[in-house]
Amino acid sequence: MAHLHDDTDQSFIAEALPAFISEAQEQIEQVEQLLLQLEDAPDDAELLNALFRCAHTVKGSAGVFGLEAVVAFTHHVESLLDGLREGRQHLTPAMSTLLLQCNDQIRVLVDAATDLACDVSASEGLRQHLVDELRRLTEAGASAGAPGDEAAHAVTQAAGAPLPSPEQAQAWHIDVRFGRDTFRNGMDPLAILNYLRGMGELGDMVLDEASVPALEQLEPESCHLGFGFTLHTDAAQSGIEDAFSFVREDCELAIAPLAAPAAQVASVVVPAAATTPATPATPATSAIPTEARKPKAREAAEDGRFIRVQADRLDAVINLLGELVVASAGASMLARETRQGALIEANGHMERLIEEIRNGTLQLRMVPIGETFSRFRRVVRDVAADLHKDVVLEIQGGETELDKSMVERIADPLMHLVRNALDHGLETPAERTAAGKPAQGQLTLSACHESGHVLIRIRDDGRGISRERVLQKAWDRGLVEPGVTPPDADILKLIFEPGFSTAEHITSLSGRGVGMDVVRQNIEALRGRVQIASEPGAGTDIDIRLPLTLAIIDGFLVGVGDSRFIFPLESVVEVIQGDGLGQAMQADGRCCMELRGQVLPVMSLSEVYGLDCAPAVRPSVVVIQSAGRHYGVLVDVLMGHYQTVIKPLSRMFRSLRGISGSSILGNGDVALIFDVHALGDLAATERTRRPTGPVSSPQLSSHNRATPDEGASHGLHR
Amino acid sequence: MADTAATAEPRALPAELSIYSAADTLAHMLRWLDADRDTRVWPVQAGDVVQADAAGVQLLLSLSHSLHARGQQLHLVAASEALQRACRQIGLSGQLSQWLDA
Repeated sequence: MAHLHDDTDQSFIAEALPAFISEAQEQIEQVEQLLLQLEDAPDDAELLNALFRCAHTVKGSAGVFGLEAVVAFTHHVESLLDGLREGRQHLTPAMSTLLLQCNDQIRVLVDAATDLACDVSASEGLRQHLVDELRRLTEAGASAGAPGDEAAHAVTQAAGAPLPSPEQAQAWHIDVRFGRDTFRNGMDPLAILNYLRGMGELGDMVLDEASVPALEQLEPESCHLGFGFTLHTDAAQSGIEDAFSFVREDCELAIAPLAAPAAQVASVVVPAAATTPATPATPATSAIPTEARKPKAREAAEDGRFIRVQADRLDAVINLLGELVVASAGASMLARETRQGALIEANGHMERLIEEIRNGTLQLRMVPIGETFSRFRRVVRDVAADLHKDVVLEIQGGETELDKSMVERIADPLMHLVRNALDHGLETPAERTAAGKPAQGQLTLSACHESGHVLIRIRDDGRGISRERVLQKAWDRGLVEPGVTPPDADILKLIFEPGFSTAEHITSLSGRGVGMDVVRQNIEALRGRVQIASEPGAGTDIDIRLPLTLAIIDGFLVGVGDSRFIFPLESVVEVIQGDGLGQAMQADGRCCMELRGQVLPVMSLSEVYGLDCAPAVRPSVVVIQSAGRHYGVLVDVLMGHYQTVIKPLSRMFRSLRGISGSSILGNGDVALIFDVHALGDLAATERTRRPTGPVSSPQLSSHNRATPDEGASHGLHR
Repeated sequence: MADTAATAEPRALPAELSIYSAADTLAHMLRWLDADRDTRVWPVQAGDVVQADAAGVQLLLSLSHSLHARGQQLHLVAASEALQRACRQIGLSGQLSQWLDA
């Protein structure tokens, strides 16, 4: 099909394409969820209709944007779905698997629409195979056939939702003349009519045959079709109009209650006699009634409850609000210096209002985690089938909200944990029955708010973790002194060690020991923590605690010389103050101290970062926990709890080790936020080059003027 | 003309009578029209059609118009269920009866 777009169209397409991609991805997700629901209720007419509508929407929208590959592939899917909802086909497990695979390919094609580097040709063979399968099933359904025409609709209705009762349904007269470009835009009037059949009873169908030219004058890709028909439905007029949403700009549409006087329903379609001679297309001869109107553009908020906002625009607003908070704090500080009560009170009021706005805006970034959880239904279905296990996935607390970026970044670690539970935790039906358990295993994903954090739990009722195997592995690898048995909780933590796997067999899913340490690192990178509890023979719980948002941080502010740093508050274990701290510091900025009978490695920030400052008279040691280890950081000044918006580091400073971001203090100073995991690595790294001068005369004049070369000499850059 | 009709390409609708095959199908139909101007009842094999959309049915209707203008009548032979259903759903029940019974 040829699409002739002028510059205006191209501009529209470029602007609107991201919104289409986003909506199409939602529809694709919806298709997956519907297919999974249909596996338990394959004859549910409502689900089948909803499934058809989703595919129809994706295909229609793709046609508007000229995405031919999406249209062509989805067309075949739509054909099979049409057969399903009309009762010509029955959804079998094999067909469900096929449709899921097709949905995956639609996802690939839609994603490729914006990713020019994405080469979909590699999967072209798979798509062709899927199309062949779709055609085979569609043909089989066509051969079996149901009694044709509108009666087929009755089959669908019999399977599920009843026809609207006379009391509920209203009769409408609909006249529609489709535009010339209807076919070129990827739309099929027949599909629209069948869509309407799904809404009620369609009758008295009249096609304006005279408008179709003879073959010698016909352009095959131009649409010359116009119809008049009645529709008995309990849907509102807006619902009927929605069926034409993808052709609104292109068609003439008139919808009127059938009870309306005939004069008000001047038809756009002139019914033709059965033997209408072939003449060149003649325009409709009747006037468009006043009820007919040019289709209006689809509104962004159809039900008025939701508005789609670009994420980066929201981030920009949050950023500005963060600046506003800082500016407000500065203004309040100046107000306090004036000692004018009214001014101080006014600034305080303004500060509180700004805080409220900021907190409210941060709420806009919150999304329910249930959307991420729902994706695992497909994973559990497919993986359990591959492993010949019977597993049911239960989701609890899907409405629990957390920051959108958090939801996106926790998906991969969760995926690994779910796959681990399926592969190693849950047994086969035979094993479970032999153990006196139900043959069907249970995997539960739950989320809830707890003490200002989000608690995500992955629970399985499988075989649990064998302490003996874990301990033996730890002894073999030298992680634990052979013969020594640590406390139970410490044994379980060993599975997070790099390369640790007690799996007897390496599968395609897991077993290479590459996963759990990365899972923990990824979670800690989100300022979260992961804990594990397990009962042999009964199952395993993995708890992940995450902050509600990555945009703001509850921090502990410290000072070293004129520099300011922030530790994530959840990583601070305790603070040690006393005389003599730091006196044992070596030239490389490291030393050890005893803390309650344990050796605590300590690092000096001023030495490690080469800060130009005299040693503090009474420094303090902040004890940090990260990745299961503790270390101390020597600082000059403790400045207490500080909540602030995190600003990313500019590109110039991205290579600085141990720093994850920055924040602007109320007085305008910049405080650097630590990445405590990387800081711990930095503290543990043995430096290969030492500074030539004494500790008190660092080579770097200031940490915020570090250059890549100077940073490299201190091992600060990656 | 009988010779012409005998050597003309067989008249059969494709399996997919849709927008995707519309241009090709139109070209075939035009050749059929050129090849046979005399046969009053004009048979077209329609048993292979497994998928038909509005564009495909429009082609069929357009062919029927051309034949009618020349005093010829389209006759669908062994029309598949898929094709018959599409014709009925699009409001061509009356025409379909004539095409089947010609």
